Amino acid sequence: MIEIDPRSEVPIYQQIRDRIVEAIARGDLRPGDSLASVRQLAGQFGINSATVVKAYDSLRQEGLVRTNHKSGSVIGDTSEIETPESFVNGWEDRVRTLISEALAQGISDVSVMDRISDIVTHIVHAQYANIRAHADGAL
Amino acid sequence: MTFAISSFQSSLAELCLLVAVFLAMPSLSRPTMPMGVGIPGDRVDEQIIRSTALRFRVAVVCIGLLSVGLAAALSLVSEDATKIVTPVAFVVSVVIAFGIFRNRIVRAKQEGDWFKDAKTRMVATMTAKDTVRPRVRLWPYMASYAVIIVTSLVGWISYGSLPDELPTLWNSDGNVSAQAAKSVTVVFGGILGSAIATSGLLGLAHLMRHVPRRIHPNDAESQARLRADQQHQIGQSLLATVALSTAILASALSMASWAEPNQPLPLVPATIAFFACFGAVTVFQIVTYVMQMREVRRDYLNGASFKDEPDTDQYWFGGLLYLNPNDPAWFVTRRVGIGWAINFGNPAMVITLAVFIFAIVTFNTLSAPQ
Repeated sequence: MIEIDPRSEVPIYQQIRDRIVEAIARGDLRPGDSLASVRQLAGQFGINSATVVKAYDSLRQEGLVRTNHKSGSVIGDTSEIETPESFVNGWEDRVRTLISEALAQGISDVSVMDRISDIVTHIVHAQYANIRAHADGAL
Repeated sequence: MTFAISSFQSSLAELCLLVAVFLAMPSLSRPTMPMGVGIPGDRVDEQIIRSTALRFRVAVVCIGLLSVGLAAALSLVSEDATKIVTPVAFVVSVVIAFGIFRNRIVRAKQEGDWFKDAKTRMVATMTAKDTVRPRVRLWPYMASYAVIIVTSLVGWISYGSLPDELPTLWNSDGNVSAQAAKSVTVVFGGILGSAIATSGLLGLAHLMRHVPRRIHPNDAESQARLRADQQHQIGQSLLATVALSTAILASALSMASWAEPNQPLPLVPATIAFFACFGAVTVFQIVTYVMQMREVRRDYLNGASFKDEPDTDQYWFGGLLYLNPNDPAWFVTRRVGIGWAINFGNPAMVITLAVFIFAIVTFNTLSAPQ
């Protein structure tokens, strides 16, 4: 399920995009899975369809989602494509900014390292659990 | 055997039914929507909410008693005025009382800024497989069409033996008030109307499948599914009941008018049977829904931290009318009572509604006796 905060400073389309990216990383969404249609998602949230279109367009530009005429928006398979250098550079810049923000706010470097490690561990555990569940289901 | 029920007695029965419906109304709202006002989950046990629901119920009983007095007084003057004025006066008064009492909760919510610290969230399912639309049960509509076809066959077989003049209008006691020369429209008008009504209700049932499943952020996925399934089932059952009851009623009255054209129609027992059938299904559905939702409510109260739906009061007028131009939904779950509310902010919905009303008015105008 996607959960968004309507009172957050982060725009709703960005939150939708972020939640889907997180679900892909955890393995909740796998290559080939069909996303809810724009109308269905907008209907469930009670928001303008244009907001969902913007979120899906953003995912499409990043190569995480592709359009299939039969199944609508589906999760793309990025495992066989080499990650573009431009993405890695941009991502590194964002991580640097995020870590700098934490340190500038007075969070200790050890605490920052611990938290990052916790987040990575949490995502990887979820990923393995999903892989196991998928393998059990396939058997 | 004749059924003679005075206008006062029928008004009294109508009022009892209306009082029962309005007394149950506060219980049919979700805990976070008392009297149609959106509130955070940690405020569901506020004293003002309980006292407002109690005061509203007392007001309903008082208005009911006053309406009985009004019906008794009017029955001495005019039978028709009793039947029309009494229920309308009751409903209008109760709606006004509802608005007045509801404002107490709105004021308390605004003055206390109840949503200030609320953790509001919006939740939706991510994948297409989780958004499968529920099915429409077709058998009641098929049964309705079967009743209509059988009745039409009976009418077709007996067409030749029917008199040249046939009744086209009856008054509320069932006595013939207008007649017309025998024609296909006059003979099959009633049953054709019920066929159109059945088709319209079937169309509406299919349209209802598209009502988006709004998930309460505090609901687990299974609870959200239970709530959505229950609401869908209630709406579908009521539509199917109206379709089948209308077909049976139209069939029975058509056959009675063909068998003995100049005899009064048993309109009163037929109407009572219609409402009894509709009422029984409604009460059964409401009881089932309340029982099922009691489990969900228990989870609300036991939850350590509440996640709330966003405050969308600005799109609800009086807690009854929904107008949100940003919401693509044609219908949304009602805040008060059970069923769905039309989204008057959706242009496609407004156009469809206008076309529907125009079609009904045109049909009534064209089918009215000259």
